[in-house]
Amino acid sequence: MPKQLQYYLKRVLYAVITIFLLICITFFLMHLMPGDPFSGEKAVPAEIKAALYAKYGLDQPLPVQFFKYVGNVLHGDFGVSLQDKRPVAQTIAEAFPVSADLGIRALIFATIIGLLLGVVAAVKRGTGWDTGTMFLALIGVSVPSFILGALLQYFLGLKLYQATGRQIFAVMGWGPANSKFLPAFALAFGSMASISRLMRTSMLDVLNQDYIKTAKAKGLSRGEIIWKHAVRNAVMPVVTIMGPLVAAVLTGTFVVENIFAIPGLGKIFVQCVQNNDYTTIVGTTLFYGSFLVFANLVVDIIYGLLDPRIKLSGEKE
Amino acid sequence: MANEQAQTANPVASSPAAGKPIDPSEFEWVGPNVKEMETISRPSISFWKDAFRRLRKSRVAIVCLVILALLVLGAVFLPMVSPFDFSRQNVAFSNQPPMWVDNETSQPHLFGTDTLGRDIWVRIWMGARVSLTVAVAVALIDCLIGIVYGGVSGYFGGMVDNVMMRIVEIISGIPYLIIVMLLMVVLPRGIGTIIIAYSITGWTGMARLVRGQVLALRHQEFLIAAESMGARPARIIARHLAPNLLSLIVVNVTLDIPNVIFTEAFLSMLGLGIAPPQSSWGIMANDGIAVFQVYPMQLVYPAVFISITMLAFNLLGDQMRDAFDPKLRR
Repeated sequence: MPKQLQYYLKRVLYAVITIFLLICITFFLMHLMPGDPFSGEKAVPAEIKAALYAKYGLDQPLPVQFFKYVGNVLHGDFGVSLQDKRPVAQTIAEAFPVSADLGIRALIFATIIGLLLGVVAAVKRGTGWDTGTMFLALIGVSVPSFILGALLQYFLGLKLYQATGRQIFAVMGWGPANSKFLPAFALAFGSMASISRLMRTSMLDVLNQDYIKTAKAKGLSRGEIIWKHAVRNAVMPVVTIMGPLVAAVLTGTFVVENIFAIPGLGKIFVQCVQNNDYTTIVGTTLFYGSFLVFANLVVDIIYGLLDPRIKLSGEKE
Repeated sequence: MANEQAQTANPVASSPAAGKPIDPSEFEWVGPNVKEMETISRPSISFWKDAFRRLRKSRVAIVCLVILALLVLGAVFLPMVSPFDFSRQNVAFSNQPPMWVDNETSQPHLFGTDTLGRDIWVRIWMGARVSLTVAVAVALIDCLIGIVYGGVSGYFGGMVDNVMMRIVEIISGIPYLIIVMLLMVVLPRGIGTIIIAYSITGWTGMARLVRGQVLALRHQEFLIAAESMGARPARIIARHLAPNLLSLIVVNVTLDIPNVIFTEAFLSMLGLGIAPPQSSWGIMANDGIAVFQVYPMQLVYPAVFISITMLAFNLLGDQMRDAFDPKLRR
């Protein structure tokens, strides 16, 4: 079997194990939780309680329940929400596109602006550009997204409206075009900061390489050297952190969606955690976990395709 | 310059030689002075002294250290000397501006009061206690687990390493915030729970770092020497490997602390962290966001404190990394 294929198969195997582990953790945590799903309701006669238990399969031994649960999950059935009695899978299917829309906007924004800032800082090293960009990056990693979101809401949403009389940026909600900028920016800012820092370091490293001198000696223009020779090589380390970045953006939606009242999956997750809606908690957790594991897998494979050297070191490890 | 000296020195040196032959009796064999040869003419500078000397030169690092020291001192002492109680509610005093003097104690509320009439200044410092306690505790626990796990994994290598690193890989494949939030649902709310929940997932990064460094050190001569003298693995890890890992660990702990502070604030903001009436920066930020459009200062105070603390730790970590690793310095 070719080494490359072996490497990918190994990655897929780990992904499957991780997801299985996640199912185990969530399932047993759910059963550790105090009380049972029906204890919150009004006093229920014993027969009805027994019937309810039978209906949801809670009267069976734990291992049986576990395998049933795994079977259901594999069929995409996450059970029914304890709060609004709707299927969890349906809730996820409705809320996820909103979060994905927000997340993709944020990721694109963070990547493009972050890369640009990093390149500028490295090329104009030691100048005001460099200092300014790095200061911005430092603010980005030090100001939590919930604070940034609230500040944006206040100054760009509320104050700007009061000052100009025009609602350039909507304060809350999700839908019209003017409502999408502020949350995406709040979500992207931290990632943008880390991308620009990484890109700057990586660019500085590449700019000291011999082949850049060669390119200079050949008489290439500054722009050609930077964009054709330096950036292409410097961008590689940034690809490696795309996996963690997706995770960061995703967990960022927990906060940003709550502040901006966006009906996405993050808001639903936080809501169900606050309401102890166990089935929804488990369902969304599994969904998030699988999604991230999948995203990491894709990033790994893309990285392997982009840079053949990585696979060798990965195998030696 | 050197040439001139040589020329002027030459006649002096050669004149006696030209006059009469050198009498060997004029010279005395002093012998090798063993003591003098062994004395160290300059005070030796250890790795740590050198690092601190470099750190002291950095104005940024000093400012960060001063800020952090002030935060710690403030968190310890300010709630004690304040005339107000952090959890005392008084609806008659709600939402007052900074420096407002209430008619009960006739003392100024430096930062004003919140919606429930509690003094924000005291609550900020009580929150600092929570944030700093959680941050330091988590950092220490992560560090301990990470060193032991990474040390064992890197030291023994082979199959042990393979299995242990696969476990780390799988654990770190799940985003920590999800695990932390799940645990916060199951466990009772409080400082202890946050520390446990974060520690369960937080140690993997440190374990990886330590393992990598141990692998690099594994075949150095001083380790082989220790081994050949019969030192046990536990002793080698604790006495020979750990000191060499210390700078790496210190830097990463410093850079890890802002994440812990963020997580605590984030969880408390979502109502999963510290339970009211306890104060925490996250709870205050959450309360502040609720009334932000009317009383912006109630969000600004916790926001500034969270940001400055995170900034100080981040900057200090960066500076320490530069100071500890001369190769990385630019």
